[in-house]
Amino acid sequence: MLDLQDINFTIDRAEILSGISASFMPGEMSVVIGPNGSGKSTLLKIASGEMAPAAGKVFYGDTQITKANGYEAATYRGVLTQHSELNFPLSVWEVIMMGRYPHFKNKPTAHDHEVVKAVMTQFHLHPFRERSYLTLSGGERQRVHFARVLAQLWHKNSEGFRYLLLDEPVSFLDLNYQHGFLKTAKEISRSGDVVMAVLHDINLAALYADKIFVLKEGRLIASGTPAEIITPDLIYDLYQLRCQVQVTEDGFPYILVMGN
Amino acid sequence: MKKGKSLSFATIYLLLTILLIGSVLLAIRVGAVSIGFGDMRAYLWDVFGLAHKPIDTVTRGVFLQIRVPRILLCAVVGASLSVSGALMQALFRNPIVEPGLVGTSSGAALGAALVFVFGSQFHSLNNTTIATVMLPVCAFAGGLCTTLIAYNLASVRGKITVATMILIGVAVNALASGGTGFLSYIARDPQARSITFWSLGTFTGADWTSFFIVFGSAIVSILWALFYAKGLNALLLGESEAQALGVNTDRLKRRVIIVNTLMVAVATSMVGVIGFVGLVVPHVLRMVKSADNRYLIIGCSLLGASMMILADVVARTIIAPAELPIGILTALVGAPVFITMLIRQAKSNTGGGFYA
Repeated sequence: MLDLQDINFTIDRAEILSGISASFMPGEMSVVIGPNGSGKSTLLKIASGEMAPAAGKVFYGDTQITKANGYEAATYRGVLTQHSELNFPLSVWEVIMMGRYPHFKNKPTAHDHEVVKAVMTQFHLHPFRERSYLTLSGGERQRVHFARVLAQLWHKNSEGFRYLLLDEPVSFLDLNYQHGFLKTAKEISRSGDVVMAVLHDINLAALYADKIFVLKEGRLIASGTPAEIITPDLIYDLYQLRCQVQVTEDGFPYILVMGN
Repeated sequence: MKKGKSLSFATIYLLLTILLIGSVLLAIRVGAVSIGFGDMRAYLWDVFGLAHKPIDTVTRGVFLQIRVPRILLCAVVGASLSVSGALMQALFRNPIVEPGLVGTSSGAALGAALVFVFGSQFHSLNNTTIATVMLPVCAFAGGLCTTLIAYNLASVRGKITVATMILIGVAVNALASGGTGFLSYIARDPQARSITFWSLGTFTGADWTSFFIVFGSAIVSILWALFYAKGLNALLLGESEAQALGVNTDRLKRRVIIVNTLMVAVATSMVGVIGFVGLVVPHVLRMVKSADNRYLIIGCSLLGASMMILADVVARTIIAPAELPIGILTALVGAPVFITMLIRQAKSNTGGGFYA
């Protein structure tokens, strides 16, 4: 499990996060929501080990993650961001092989090649193998990055877990890709891994999350199942918008914004 | 270009090696004194004490003391500048960067010019020490300062904006060339080289000493840079992504800046500022095959060496018996490439690149 203990973070004395404790459990899809500037992305960067908290601790199972050993976690912890700034003509295959970088020293082994082949099959990327990344559409690019992150996380760590962190992974994708991505992420959580996603879209969060964590002004103000969390009061509290909460046939809550 | 992508890396390295050998032979032949292949063989035998017929000692001198060291110096300088271009492009995550643009070269030139003008003031140092130790060291210090200034000002919280980077490059370059210009203006020592030398570069002063100095730094830094190829590839994705892939980005950037400055500074202290080589050579290699940094570092060493040798052949023959400063040639070829790349980058501001 991914355990955050009393995380604080400040930039120039401004408190970005204060007193956040949360546990992201294996087998569950955990989704963090909150308005812009509530500290969601910062929290994810601290959880991934990219940034060190001003105070507090991050644990992956029994291992404490600090900036110093965050690099070692790269064999079982992957991060997918909303878009990469890759500006060079690398082939799709070369980009996905980067996911194997934490696993080999100089040259990819036969096993690394197999893994890349397998994720390319899973993401239907074989036709793109030799294509330059720069010729792909936004959705295709994001698919390549997701494949890269999965190539990175092909194995579980010694405690039997993988950690997948998604930072607004679907913000620039069309409907089809949004659902495809989150479905894949949910399947990964179902195989007993830890998945933590930051999402903007409340309805997507309600549809895919097993547990939702709500951030407001750097504090964790609520956490629970979508049905417990998604209420008109909470939405008003977060976004100052009046809304109706309805329930789909399958029992998922969704919101209809009424204006303010 | 599509055809080139199907060539394997090994084939490309082989072709580039053949090109390099061809360039060396051509460059030895052509010049004020023409040297045939039979003569070359005879001089080489003579060096090893195996000559079986008398040879022309004047031509032999031209061959051994002037032409060969000059061509070899061209090769190592070309390799250094091209590999440096590839490294800086990965570091700045932008293919239009090169040591001349961000000010590494002009900073190194300033450091070297300081040694030329003030080095003779230190009576405790003899001329050899100045030339072989002080010169590269001060050039390194100068190049490191300007590179660090440019990199730190251009990158804000891990993001680098092209416009800021270019403008800072202009400012840093202006400052450093101003300093160099001032130094050549006040220099009385005939050894202090001309402003032309510092701004356009030349291989006229080439000798075995300067070759061995640049060769040493080139070999060390290119082999060293190969260790960072993987990390630099990951860095192309962005800093956060590289860290998520287990790359210690702060350490990587520090070390790449040092190794890069080493090769540029030592080369610049011997031949002056030669622009655009570091831009054009990696660009060509990317179009031929890939943007993978391991390939670029090896490819740039070979292609950069050939290109510099061939450029120098043109520079010393085109207006013979006079000689064109080599920087004029590289600018004539490089500047249009730079402008084209810049326009294409500006047009594709949605994040697609100009290799698309």
